[in-house]
Amino acid sequence: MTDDAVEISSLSWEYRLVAAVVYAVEQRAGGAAAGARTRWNGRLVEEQDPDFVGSAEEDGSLSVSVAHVLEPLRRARDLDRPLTDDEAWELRDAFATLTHEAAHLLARFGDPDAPDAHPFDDASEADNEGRTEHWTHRNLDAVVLAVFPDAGLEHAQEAVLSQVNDDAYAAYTTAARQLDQALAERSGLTSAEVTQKLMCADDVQRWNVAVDLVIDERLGKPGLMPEAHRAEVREALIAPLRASLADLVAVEADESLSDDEKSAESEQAAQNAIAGLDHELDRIERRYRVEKAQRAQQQAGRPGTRRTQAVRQAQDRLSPDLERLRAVTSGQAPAAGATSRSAEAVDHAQQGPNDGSRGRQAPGRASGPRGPGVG
Amino acid sequence: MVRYDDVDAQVLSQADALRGADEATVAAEVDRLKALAEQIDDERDRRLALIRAAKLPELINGAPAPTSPEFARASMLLAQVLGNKGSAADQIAHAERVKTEIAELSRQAPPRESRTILRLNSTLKRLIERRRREAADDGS
Repeated sequence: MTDDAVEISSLSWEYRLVAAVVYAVEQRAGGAAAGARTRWNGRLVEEQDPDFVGSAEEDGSLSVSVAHVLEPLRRARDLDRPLTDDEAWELRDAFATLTHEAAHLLARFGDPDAPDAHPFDDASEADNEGRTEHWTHRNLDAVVLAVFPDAGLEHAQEAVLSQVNDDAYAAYTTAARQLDQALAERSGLTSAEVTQKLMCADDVQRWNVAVDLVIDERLGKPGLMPEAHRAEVREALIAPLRASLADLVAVEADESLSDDEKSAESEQAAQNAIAGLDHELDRIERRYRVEKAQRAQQQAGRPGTRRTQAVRQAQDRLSPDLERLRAVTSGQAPAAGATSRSAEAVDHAQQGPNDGSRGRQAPGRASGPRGPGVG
Repeated sequence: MVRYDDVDAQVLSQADALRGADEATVAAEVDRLKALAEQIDDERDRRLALIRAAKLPELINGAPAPTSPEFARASMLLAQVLGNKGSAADQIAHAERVKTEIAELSRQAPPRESRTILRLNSTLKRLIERRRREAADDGS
């Protein structure tokens, strides 16, 4: 924000209206109890550039165009007749701008140097704008109803609620909605809960928060994933999401594609993101489940190991005559004995902390006691 | 006793639950929600709830996208800036050029799409500020 910004007085009607919008956005996002606090610093400034309607600023200020946003609101307040259709639409549009920008303030940027931070790139921007627009669309009526009565705009409520405003980020909104729905189905949350969590997440942490929802449900709760693996698993799950959203931006940027083709590609990008997430999630879950099964088998094999040792001790105590008899009746007793010893040797090796063959050897150990030389 | 908030909560939950549902199913749900809204005692809240219930199809399908060629071009120009993998200075310069072009497109567009187009520039403003900060951080 420039140093010559014109600040709007906190005593003005416009300031109180915008402050009420910010508060309504926080409440609609779950309120302070749910961690839904904006980073608004209390400053409202006039947008000086006529090419901008308003924006959530880096420093936490809100900038608003007087001509595009505040004047339509003021005119509606002062009307002593019902709003025309165009006036009601203009009022709703101005309010959508305020609500969308206030909703952006629900998120902090976060520490870009944190080890698990993700760069806020084209994929992140598309995801963020799509979700913010989607949230605004769902919640705009509620914000209107929360703010209008105290702002002297109660007479305009019905007219404004009856209007439908356009989706400025249609391509990205579809993708963000589909992604949130997919995350909801895989995490046990509702789609609205997912949307609100991601709206309030730091910009550079949003991908982590998104995949943590499914990691916790699918890999954490069943006790499959050691916590130390989280960073690696996150990366595997985030990669297809980011790649698909970046593809979506590339499709939107392509001058050779028609609107219909872009719309179809947009749907496809969202489906690719979800398919990629599922593929990675299934692969990782399968790996952990196999490892878990192997560990369980290994655990089951341990009493067997003790039995093997007990049998060996018993063998050592056999009389020489019985040993000879066993060798004759088993035919291949020496080979069987060799196998048994070999299993025992691996068993000891398996107890080393870094032996990757640990799980795979468990069945061998379990079969030891049933070897022909022992029966 | 039914309140406006009860109707609103059901509208939103059904907006998620009925994604992909056929028109007849959605229409039947709108009728049910309107019947629920009719039970609100307060006349003003009842009228507002009826308006809200009628919005279910739009909340299921998403808000309509603008249809003008000016919007299509503005949306494409924005995506080209977002996808710019150049340096911070390069992307900022690109964003500055495009925000002027988008503003011009908004002036040429049908009135109801004009401000929707101009809203795209808010993304560019945030991007420019962020990239400036990142460039400053890198230089410090």
